[in-house]
Amino acid sequence: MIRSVVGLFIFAVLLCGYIVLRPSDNGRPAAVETTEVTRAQTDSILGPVPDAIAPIEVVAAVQAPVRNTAPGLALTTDRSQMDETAANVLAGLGLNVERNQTAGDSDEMLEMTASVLSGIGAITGQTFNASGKPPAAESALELLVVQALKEGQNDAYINTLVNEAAKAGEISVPDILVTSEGDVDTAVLLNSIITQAQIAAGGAEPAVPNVTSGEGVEVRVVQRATEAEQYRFYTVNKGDSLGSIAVKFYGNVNKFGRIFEANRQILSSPNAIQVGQRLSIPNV
Amino acid sequence: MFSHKFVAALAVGAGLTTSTLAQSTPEPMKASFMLAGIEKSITQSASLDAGRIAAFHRPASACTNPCIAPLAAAAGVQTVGEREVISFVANVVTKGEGLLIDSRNPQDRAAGYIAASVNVPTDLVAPDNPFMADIMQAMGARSFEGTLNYSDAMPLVIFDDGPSTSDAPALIARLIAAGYPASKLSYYRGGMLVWTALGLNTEDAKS
Repeated sequence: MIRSVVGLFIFAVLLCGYIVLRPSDNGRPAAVETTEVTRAQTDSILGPVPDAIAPIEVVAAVQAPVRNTAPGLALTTDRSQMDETAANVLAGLGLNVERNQTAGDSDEMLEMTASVLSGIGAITGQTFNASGKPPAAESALELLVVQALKEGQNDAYINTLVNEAAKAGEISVPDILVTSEGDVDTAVLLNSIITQAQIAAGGAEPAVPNVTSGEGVEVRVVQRATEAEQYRFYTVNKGDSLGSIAVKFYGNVNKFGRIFEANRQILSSPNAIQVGQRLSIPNV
Repeated sequence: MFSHKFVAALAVGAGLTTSTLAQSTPEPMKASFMLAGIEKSITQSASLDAGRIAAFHRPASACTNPCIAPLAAAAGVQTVGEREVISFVANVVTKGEGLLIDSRNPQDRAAGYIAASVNVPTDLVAPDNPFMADIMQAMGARSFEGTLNYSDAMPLVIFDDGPSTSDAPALIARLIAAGYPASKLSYYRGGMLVWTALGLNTEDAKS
């Protein structure tokens, strides 16, 4: 009796030791899978890109010799929303884009509300961190992209520019644009700008693609008594950002929140995405 | 029976006496206070500038029928005069515990306003403003699970151009409709017209 108990105990200790010490999937050096995924796939994720902006050659960034071993830590990130960032870039280019889908005069309402709030704040000494904040000034990232687009630079150039500035700490980037490699996913940003310009020009919102196959995509169908429930998972590849995964599955970068919320247990923040992580993709 | 009537009459009499005494105080009104680190004052001038008063007169066509605001804006809302407004500014607004609200639109307000007042245009406190909840929260309401709780909302004194305009009563009606307690609202019916007619000073964006 005692022997078997002691035996079980030793087995349990060994098992725990194995679980704690076994090589982590996420900790695998990135070099091991360099050939697994090419960046071209990310381009296909984004779907057809209008001629005005050529598909992005991200190869340069992916093959850059120095790699951040701790993705996301090197970059200054913020929680700015992609639609806001894209709208600011378009505004910088002289295009007017409705920031909200509410009534057309909501910009005026927002502006007036902001002045009311600052008036009240001046008396009470409080500051209000509400949605009625005044339209934010263009961020350094937006200014950089606006400038490059005005100069007619191609996407590869913009991508290099943004990545260099981000690594030098000159700009802060939306955290959902940080890829598993710790780079900035400029493709998603440019894609979002194009999408928003198309919507502003009367185009339809991007359709939700029905992704059921492809690199890293895993579909499980659970048969219930009356219906079949479909669960999708996605294993993070090199160069993916939470934004690009949202585009891949939902056609819309701004829906990244669903994926983030569903994977809170393994994602400490939207920029903490790492190669090999298996993310649950909630159905729309 | 008789004694009850007598007591009531006495009470009314006493009330009248106090107010009569208060109103007969001869010296002009003056109040100085610090607001957000800037010293401000409300002073009463002995001479009147007719042009300044006229700036706050709105033509009859600009108001909804009837063109004279009622004495009471809404049930439970106190109507106050200049003394109460000045004392509210000096004792409550300066502590950040209440707000003097100018309900006019910014263009009308540009002609001049009472020191320490903040502009909350009536048009903005409307269900079609998606940011209305932010304004309510700035006035002390608390948001809890999507609904606003007004138990900590600040007392407000609300004015407009004067008795011939209805911006302030309209704002009061909208605030009450949104759930703001009537007991926390006061209506300064005299507005800019009576304020300047009494020789009280105003501020404008330039000053």
